Amino acid sequence: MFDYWLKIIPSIVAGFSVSVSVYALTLLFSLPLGLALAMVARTNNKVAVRAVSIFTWILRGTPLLLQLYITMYAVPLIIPMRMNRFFAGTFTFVINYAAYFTEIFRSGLAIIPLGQWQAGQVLGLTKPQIFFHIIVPQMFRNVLLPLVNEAITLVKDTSLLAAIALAEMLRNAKEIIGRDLRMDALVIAGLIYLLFSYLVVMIGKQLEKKYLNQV
Amino acid sequence: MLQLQSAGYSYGENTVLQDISFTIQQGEIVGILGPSGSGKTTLLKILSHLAELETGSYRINDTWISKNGVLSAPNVISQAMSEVGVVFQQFNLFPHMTVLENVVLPLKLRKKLSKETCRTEAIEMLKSMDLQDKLESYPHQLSGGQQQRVAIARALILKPQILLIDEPTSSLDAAMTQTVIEILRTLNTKGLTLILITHDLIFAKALCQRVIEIGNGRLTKDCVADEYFPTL
Repeated sequence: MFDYWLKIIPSIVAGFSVSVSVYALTLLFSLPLGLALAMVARTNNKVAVRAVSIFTWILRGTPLLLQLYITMYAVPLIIPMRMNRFFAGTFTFVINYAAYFTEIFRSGLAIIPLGQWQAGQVLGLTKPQIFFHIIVPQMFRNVLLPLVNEAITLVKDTSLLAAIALAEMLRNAKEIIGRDLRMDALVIAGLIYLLFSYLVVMIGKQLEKKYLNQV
Repeated sequence: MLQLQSAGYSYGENTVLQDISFTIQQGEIVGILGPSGSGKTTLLKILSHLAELETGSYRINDTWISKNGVLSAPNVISQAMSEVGVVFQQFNLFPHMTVLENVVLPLKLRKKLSKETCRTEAIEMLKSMDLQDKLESYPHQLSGGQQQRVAIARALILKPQILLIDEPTSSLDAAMTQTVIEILRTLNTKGLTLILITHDLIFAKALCQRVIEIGNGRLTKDCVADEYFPTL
């Protein structure tokens, strides 16, 4: 069994590197996008607020799998283009997770008392200074737990990339099972998912320890 | 010097302040008194520029913040308002920062001083408030009186000429009130103008030299404290 595992692990790890790349890129782009949209949602511009509301409603109200199919297979029917699987997967994940992060950040901003803004104003700070030095750090503390939850969900959601035939970990494992008629690849993939989410949980716990005992 | 001329403010149809005029000279201790709902808090917002006058004029030293209801340029206002420090009733300390960081922040962002200078000045200020052993504490770890002293330190770190304090005694016990009175008296002897918005008549009598009374959004009295508190 050990020899067999050594033989199949490189292919599974190659798939895992694709999963990790999508995971990292999704967090890298969806977090700032979610924050920007949450800020827009708190402005007085009714059109922009409505647009953000519709965006989050659609993205959170339809399955991620359907959104992957639309990006991968429906968009090229409308705009003639050759869709890159990695791009399609990452793009869909970014906008889907940005929608969730928008709502999380919006709730985190809503519970910060107006007095915090006023304290910054009377100290003569500019709006960007107040936002980035006073409001955003408090907002991140308010939303740390739901953010960590989303980060754990994202670990498992990357397996959906198999549906658009992107060579991520689960798809590679499935190919190995079809070829060898053995289920070891699934066990290895399961263990890697578990280790990956354990790592995310541990990072989350460290962040909690560092930040949540301050307020 | 701080001056309001015929100041007016309303929330929609509801007129909150009407025709308020007074001048406060450098070094005075003035109590702004009045019952709940009289317009004291709105007046504090106007004096701290958290709300803008709709009618009338507001001046700090030689600079008009608003003249006949027309605001000055933002950079002019920003410069003039740097002479006004504010301590809120709820203190509004930044909960994610330590006591030291709360006081360092305005120095770092407004004065652009070096990290070490900011730290040294902030520690000096906190020492003068007897908070030297609380530098690394977070606001939620402090008593009401300690939080208020941090708020005073944060407001004073930019060296304003005028300090506005909203309901200074609302979260203090009798002993702490006495400490705050002493701190404020000491600051006043160094030339700081104090404007105290309060409904605590005993506190106002103990500290204020002059009283401005607001009732139903209008100035109902402006006199020396001895005249206002003859029987207390």
